[in-house]
This record gives sequence, C-alpha cells and structure tokens, in this order.
Amino acid sequence: MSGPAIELEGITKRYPGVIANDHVDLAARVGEIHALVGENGAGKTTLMRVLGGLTPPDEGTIRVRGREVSFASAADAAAAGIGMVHQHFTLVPVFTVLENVVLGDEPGFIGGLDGVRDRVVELAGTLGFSIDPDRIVETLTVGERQKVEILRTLLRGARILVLDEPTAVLTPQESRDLFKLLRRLVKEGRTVLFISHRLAEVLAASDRITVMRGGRSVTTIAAAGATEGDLARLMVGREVLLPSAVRGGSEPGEPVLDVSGARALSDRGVPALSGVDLTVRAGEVLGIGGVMGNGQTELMESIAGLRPLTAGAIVLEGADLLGWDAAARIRAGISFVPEDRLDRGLVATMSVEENLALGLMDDERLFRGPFMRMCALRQRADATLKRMDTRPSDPGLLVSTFSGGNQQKVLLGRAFDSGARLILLMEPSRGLDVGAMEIVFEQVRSATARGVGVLLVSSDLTELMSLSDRILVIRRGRIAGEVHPGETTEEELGLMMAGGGA
Amino acid sequence: MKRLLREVAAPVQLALLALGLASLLLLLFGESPYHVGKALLRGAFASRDDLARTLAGAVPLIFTGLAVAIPFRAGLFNIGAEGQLILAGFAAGVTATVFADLSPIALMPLVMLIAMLVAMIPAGIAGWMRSRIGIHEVIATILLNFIIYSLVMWLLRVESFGLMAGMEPKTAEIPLGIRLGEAIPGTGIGVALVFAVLIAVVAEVVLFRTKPGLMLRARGGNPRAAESVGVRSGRVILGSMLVGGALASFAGTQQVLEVHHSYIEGFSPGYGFTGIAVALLGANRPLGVVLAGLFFAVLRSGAFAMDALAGIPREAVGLLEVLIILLVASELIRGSFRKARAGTAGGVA
Repeated sequence: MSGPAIELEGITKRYPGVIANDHVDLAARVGEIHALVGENGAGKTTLMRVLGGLTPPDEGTIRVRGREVSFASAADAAAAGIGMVHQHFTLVPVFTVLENVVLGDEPGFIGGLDGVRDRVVELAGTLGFSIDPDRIVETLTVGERQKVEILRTLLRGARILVLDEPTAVLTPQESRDLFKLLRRLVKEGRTVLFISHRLAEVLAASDRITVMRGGRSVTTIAAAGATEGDLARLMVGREVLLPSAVRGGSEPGEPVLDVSGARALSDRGVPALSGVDLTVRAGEVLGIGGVMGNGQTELMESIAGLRPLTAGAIVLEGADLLGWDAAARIRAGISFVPEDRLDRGLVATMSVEENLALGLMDDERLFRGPFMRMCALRQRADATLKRMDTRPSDPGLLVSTFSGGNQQKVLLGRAFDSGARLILLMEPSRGLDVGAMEIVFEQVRSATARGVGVLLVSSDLTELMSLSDRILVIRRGRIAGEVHPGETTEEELGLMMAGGGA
Repeated sequence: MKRLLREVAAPVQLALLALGLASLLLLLFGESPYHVGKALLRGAFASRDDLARTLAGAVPLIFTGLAVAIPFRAGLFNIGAEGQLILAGFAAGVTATVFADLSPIALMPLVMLIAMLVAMIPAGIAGWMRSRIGIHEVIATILLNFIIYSLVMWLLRVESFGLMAGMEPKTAEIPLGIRLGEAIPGTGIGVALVFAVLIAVVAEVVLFRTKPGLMLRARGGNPRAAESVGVRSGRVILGSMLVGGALASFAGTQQVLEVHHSYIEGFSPGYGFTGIAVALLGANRPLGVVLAGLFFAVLRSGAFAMDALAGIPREAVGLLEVLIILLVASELIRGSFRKARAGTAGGVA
C-alpha cells in the first residue's frame, strides 16, 4: 500500500544563467499527502512543471509506480496518471460545471453528457461534498471552483494529484474543507503533492514534507514532530524570525485617513461598498479581514482614486479627496499595492527600474524636468532591490524574467520607497516565502515607526493577525465588526468573516 | 543601447532569413540569387541619382513607420497614417501655392506647420473617440481614411476654390525656394532624410529617457497598472495619436516639397500601410524604424533595375516584403506566447 507512487531522481533543469533544479530528488508514496516547501526561487514550480510534463528536464529520471517514464507533453503526464491543479484556475467562467469537466475530453455524442453528469455527482458524493453539475462556474465560490478542478482531474484518471499553492485563495474554512477532501483521496490510494508557503497548514495537513533550497532538495522529513521553526530554518538555511513573533504595540497618532459612509459599485455595476466608515491613524496598521469579494478591492481602489464613490467621503490628512484622480492622490501621499501584481501593479514588459520610476514620478531626485536621471535611477533601483533581497538583483532586467515572489518584492519595494503618508497594502505576502515575509514585516514596522498609516487587506489570517493593530471585518460591503489581534483567535475571526458570531 | 540591439536583433535575423528563403525560391526557378541581388543593389546604388532616389524613398517609410510605432508603444494601432499623410500633402501643396509670395524662410515652416496641424485633426479625432467614447482606434482610423480620400478629392475639384492646376488632379507647382534638395551637396543625402533621422533620435530619447515616454510605454504594456501609478490613460491615448498624426504629416510634406513639387492625387502608393510593416520590422523602436525604412527603400528602389537587368518582375520585391512581415509577425506571436507561459510559470518559482 505504501509503495512509491512517484520518484524523481537527480532532476536537473538549467535556464540561461540559472540552474532552477540541481539534482533534485523527491519520492512520494502511495496514500500520502506530500508537501513541497521552499523559498521563492528555490525551484519548486520548475519541479512541478517537470512532473506535469510541461518542462522537459535536462537530466534525471522520473518513475511512476516503479516504472521509468519520460514526458514529452502534459498529455503524457496525464496519461501516466498525474493531474495538475494550477494556482490560476483553468475553468471557463461562462460554462457549467459539467461543460468544464468534459471540455477538452468531450464524449463523442451529445447524449454522452448524461453519463458524465452521473459520474460527477457520484464522485463528488464519495468525496464528501455535493455540487450541481449545471451551475455556471462564474456563480461558484473560489473554493467550489477548485473542487471542480480537482473533480475534472480525477475523472480523467489521475492517481497522483499535484496542487500549486492550493490554499492561496481560500478562506481558512475552505482550506480545511480542501484538506479533508485531499485526505479522503489518499485514503483511497491516491497520492497528493502540494506546494505551500503556509508552514502551519503544511505541518497540519501533510504526512511528509520535502524542503527545497537554492534549486536543490535539502531533505524530506515527517510532518509529525516537526515545527514551523524547523521548516523555516531548513528553507532559509539559518534561523528566522517567524512573523507571528514580530509585531509589538505602537502608539497611533493623528488620523491619516478618514473614510465615512463610502459607497461604490463593483465592475459589474452592483453595490460593492454599502457605507463603510474607517479611520487609519499615523503609525497604525489597520487590517481589513473578509472573505474575498466582499468589497475589499473596491474599498482600496476608491481610496487610491481608481474607482468613484457613489456616496460618502475620503479625507486624507484633512483634505477631502473628492474629485482627485489617482495621480493627484499619489502626489498627496497615497501609495497602492494591488492584490494582483501583474494585473494592476507592474508592467511585465518593462524593466524593474522603469517600473520603480513609474511609482516615483514625483521624485525630484529621479527626474530633471521631463528627463529621467538614469544614473540616479539605477542607484535607487539597486538600493531597493538590495533592501528587498530580490534574485536576480539586476534592475535592468525585464519584470517578466523575475519569479512571482521576486516581482512581489519589487512592487512592495516601490511602495515603501515612495515616501507615502498612507500605504494601501493588499495581500503583501502573496507568493512570498518566510525569508521574504520577514523583510516585508520589517518594512511595515519601519514605515509605521516613521508615522506612515497602513491599511492592510489580507486573506491570510496569520498575516492579518500578526501585522495589524486593529482588524475590521468586512462583509457584503459593510464593516461587520472590529477585533484586536491580541484578544481573538483565527477561528473567531474566520467565523466573523463567514457571517457567524458578532 | 544593449536593449536596442537585443530588440532589433530578432527582426534583423528574420529579414536575413527571408532573404535566404527568397534566394532558394530564385534557385528553384533556375535564377541566380547572386545576379538578381547584384542587379537589385546596382539599381539602388549605382549612380548618385540612384542613391538619392533610394534615400529619398526611405523618408516617407521612416515617418509612417514612426507614426505607427509611437502609438503602438502606447498600445494603439494607428491604421490612419495613410489618410493623415494624404491630408498633410494636400495641405502642404495648398499652403505653398496660396502663400507663394512669402519668403522661403517663412514659407517652409508655415507649410510644415499647417500640414502637421491638419494631419493631427483626424488622428486627434480617433484618439478622442477611443478615450472618451471607447470606439476602437482601428475602426476610427480606417473610416477616417475614407473620409479623407473623398474630402481631398472634392476640395481639389471645387471650382470656386481654384486649387486644381490645369486638367490634371494636382495643385500648382510650389515655389522653387522651398523645394528640398541635398543636405550635403554631392552625397545624395537629402535634407528630408537628415530631418527624419533627427526626428527618430528625438523620438527614441522621448520614449526611453523621459517621463512622458515612460508613461506612454507603461500604458501600452499594462493599462491597468499604468492607471494605478497615476498615468492618465486618456491623455496618453490622445497624445500618442496626435504625435502619430504629426509624424505621418512629415511623410506627406516631404513628398510635396522634395519629390513631386505639388500635391498630386494618388501620390502615395500606400506609404501609411507600408509604415505598419516598417514599424513591425523595426521592432517599434524609432532607430529600428530608420533601419527598416532604409531596408524597404533599397528593395523598392532596386526593383526596377532587377526587372530590367535580371528579368525578375519587380512585383517579386512585394513578395519578399510580405515574407518578411509574415516571419516577423509569427515570431512576435510566438514570443508573446512564450512570455505568457513564462508569466504563469513564474507563480512561485
């Protein structure tokens, strides 16, 4: 029963200038949940791509249930029973669950759909949840969509399920559901391999953990008996301060931002904010907790000047921002770190220093009239990259050549560099490893020490609890309550977000 | 500079590849690529007149290439360069005859300025429609092209305006004093070419060394990210289209002042559309556009000689141009696929 399901031996993958995987070994047994952890750029994603048949390795062997295989394409990997669930879902939003499940693997006849319908319902049932195969995917929650992805993979005969940061977009309750589901899968003799940056959930959910560092596999340990500190040390190669231990009390000053009675519409034209009041004080981190899609994005965008309010007022240090556009608000001292770095944050086709310059266009030291001071800009960019510890550290490279975590560091570095009075921080550590999170937390701490106000939106409750001085829970566009991190638990917070409790 | 080389390297390789493929094709038909190539180059460079014609032929291609490339960097597709340059040519011809009594020193800038402002009108309308009403600039510029063809045709024929010189659909000859000649006598290098290269250098600097250029490229690369760092999208759209119109106007003005010495109906063999290919081959870099413009000009200028000396129909050059465009376009598509894939792979790497 517990034979090897998949064995990777000596996997090596070189890219120009970097070795992404350097003789990596990994073996997952039948019937286990196996976690893969490591810093940004440690080579986890490359390894997963090799496993999924998306990237052919330069060296090394792959064995599935003891048989050596080589994958020329994702289809080969799928045929060998390996199913990938990607971080960005691959479902068609306007199709039904059933249509998505059969898409790309359609039965030959129209009538064939009914057979699949029964199998979908049956499989969902055996996995302990129910799903209506005729629901339009758009109307599903993120957690439900992920289950559809998993269902689809299983229906195509996957015995080994590979998940890339599956919980990054889930609420704590949804994550627990997911791991329950995964546990059932492995009980039936399947194998689960997943990547995660959240060490607590890795320890709680997995059987064994493989740690990667600098393109190599460092070790594989049993989850039982290990601690977060152990994992962090193995990943970084030195002792690290875990986020939860960092933030001390601070004394907030004058209000920096006052939002009163704010109402705004979502992109689809339905009310997303229904009267939000909040105040951020100088030197304070005000956290906003909530299930994604409850108005957080609209709140941040209206403060940043990217979305008009239909009612209410936003006041920055005494000045009413009504009618100010994004450029004027940046000049007034607001810096915005959006939730999706490549959507609203960075221009992937431009270099890192150009992206930094874009966020600092009012900085006299970087521009002489309309002209860019190339030397000053290079120096500034070098300093920022060094402070954020990005790899690679050449600011002349295009943003698209950086890994996601390192792009995130560029985005954060730009915001903390801007001299802003108010930083709107969304999902700051999305895709970041513990070492990088340490840097982000340090940046937040030093910003607040300078009297900067921070408004933080995060779906990672641990991050929210450890960074915030106060937390407001937002639900359906309203503030549903306020809690203090020291006086509550993640469980209570999660319940409030979901609508239970007060 | 390193980045310029990197960006232009791929199109250069592809142009060479296209030349190689064309040579194979010639071999297949039993022709010697060496002789055909020699005839073509001889036609383009043999005498000083040939050289002057070749270089002058590059000027409208450089300007229309720039007129497409600059808006393209802002994420806009200016199909209207053709209409813009025709309007400019017409305005230049009319201005030069109406104010023929002015001294050349005053008349020359006046002609250029009026042609430029007139060409910026349709470009500005397209930009305004895109940023205010959301009408796509491709649709707007194509339709404006038709409006301009008809408008200019009509204006030229309104008898009370008296613009038509004689029976031919053209304006009167422009004064001698404002006809453009060689910049350095005896070299074949025209004043217009020098001006075109200067404009390209300015465009290069503005795009890559100034704040407006930074904002323009940011909006082209990722409009939503540009918006969140305070780039006003509407201004970039309107501004880059106006610049595109101004650049296209220089092509029309040069045709009047240097080549035809009056506005002649149908003077443009589709320069505005060839500009799209020039921008593509020049990797949308102003200096790359200069090289691409010269390259296309050599092909076109040598085509007659190739026809006469080697017996290859000059339409074959058009075939070669299309081959190059297809190769560059397919490489661009492949490249953007690769980038898209690298983007998702970068998730947690």
